Amino acid sequence: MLLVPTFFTMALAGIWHGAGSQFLIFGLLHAAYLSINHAWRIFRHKRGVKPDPHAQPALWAVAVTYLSVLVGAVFFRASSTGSALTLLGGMLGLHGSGVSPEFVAAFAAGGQTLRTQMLWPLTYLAWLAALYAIVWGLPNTQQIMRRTDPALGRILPARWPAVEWRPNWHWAVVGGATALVAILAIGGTSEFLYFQF
Amino acid sequence: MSFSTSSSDLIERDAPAGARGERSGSECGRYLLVAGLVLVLGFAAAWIWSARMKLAFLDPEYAAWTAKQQLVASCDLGDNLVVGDSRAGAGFLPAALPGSGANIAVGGAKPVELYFLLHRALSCQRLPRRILMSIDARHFDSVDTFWTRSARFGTFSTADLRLVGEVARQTGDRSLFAADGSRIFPAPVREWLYAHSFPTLNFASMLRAGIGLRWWRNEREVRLTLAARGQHLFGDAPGNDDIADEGRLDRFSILPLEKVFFERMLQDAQSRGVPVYFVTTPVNQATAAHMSQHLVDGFREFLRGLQDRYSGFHVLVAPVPALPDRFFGDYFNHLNAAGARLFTTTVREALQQRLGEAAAAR
Repeated sequence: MLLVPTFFTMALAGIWHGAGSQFLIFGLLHAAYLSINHAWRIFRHKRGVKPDPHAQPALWAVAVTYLSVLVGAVFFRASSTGSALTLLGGMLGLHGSGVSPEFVAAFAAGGQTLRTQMLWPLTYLAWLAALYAIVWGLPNTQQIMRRTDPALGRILPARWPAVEWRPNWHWAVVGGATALVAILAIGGTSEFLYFQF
Repeated sequence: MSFSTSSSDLIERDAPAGARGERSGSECGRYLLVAGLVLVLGFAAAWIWSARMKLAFLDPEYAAWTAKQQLVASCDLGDNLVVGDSRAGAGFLPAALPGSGANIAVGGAKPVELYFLLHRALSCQRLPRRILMSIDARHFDSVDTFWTRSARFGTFSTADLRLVGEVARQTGDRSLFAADGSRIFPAPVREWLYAHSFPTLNFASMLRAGIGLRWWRNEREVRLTLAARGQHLFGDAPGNDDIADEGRLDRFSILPLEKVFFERMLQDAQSRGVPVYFVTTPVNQATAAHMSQHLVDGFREFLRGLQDRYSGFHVLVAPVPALPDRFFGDYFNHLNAAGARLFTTTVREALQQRLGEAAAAR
């Protein structure tokens, strides 16, 4: 009863994004994820497990959901199913570690060369850490606007009540500042540099 | 200011409906007032910062540009005024030329930019004895960084940009106005917004600069550029063998609008009795090996035609000389310090010879 409409709808949603088998797979993957979610809820209901509306989700559940969406996103962004599979293979380490011979030589030599070689990987790792901290640590927009019922269904409260929007002057300042940044960022020019920094 | 208890909802649910609506409306009004004030005041502050404090957030090329504008504003030009693009900015050492001098060549400059810079310089009471002009072949047929750097730095007033628009209409050459930077704003206000440093133009630089952390470095760059009389290096690697853009051009061509402004420059100089010596800056051997003969011939022919029509225009170094790769500091074929010394010496010798010949002819 659930599987057929879910797969049909998600397959259509997938190919709506583009003509390519990778979009169909993207849709079917999400249909599979949703079907598993429904099956899990039915299974728990039959076992008499009542969900706690205030419970934080288990770490493993968050990890499984994140990884599932990540795999789907690879198909969504890839130019073809073949390149998506190649990319997934790379993510699983099937094409080697990606460490260049220059990096290995620099690692062996140490000193300034190593610091130069390490600069970009460390910069990327720092960016990843900062962005993951935002994704996992900060509330999303639904949590921020929770008091105004922005969505159907249950919205988990944010860890800190202070980040929930209220019509007070603190939030007015935040709103004004956010609007300011949004306006300033419209139509700007990026930097072209003859200079080497 | 307090217009809501810390834990209240937008609408106080216990109050009667009328009072609830009034309170809600009043709270919303005050909320929007504060948000609007933050937006308006913040935007005003960003605009003032964008217009008045560019040295705090733009890249070091702006610092060099500022130093050159100061030389022009104070009419401190000396005997030899160097005008041109970034290769000229790096390659000409005014102190090594005969007599005094100033290098006001700026990155990405094409005839349209140079016309306005030179026009200001030639408004000084004490004029330079000669102009050394250098623009590479690519900059005659390019929109390059007209909006994204020249206009953003403040090269043009609103009237200047309107004149550019007028020439574009007359020549039918809309290339500058089809460039990315032009389409950011609608035509009726574009010139004014650029000339007044509208803050959205500089927001990316402000972010990259941490709002104002480039101030100290740029201040130092201004002092160094002034001390070098406007000359400043770009890349200073001990050599470069990348093929510059000339290596990819099939032939020499000039945009109609650039041709108009180039000739206006020559007319300006001629009307003030200042001779112009055109000097082609060198490319590295890698580029020279890939350069089309059509390009070189076309460039030479163009300059020769101008020489025939303007008595004060002389080609001092014809297109396109080459130097060993070790004299170049980056991909753009900017000369490094050693290259600038060698090149300026060559120019000085050529200039002295030409001046000697002219004196002998008199």
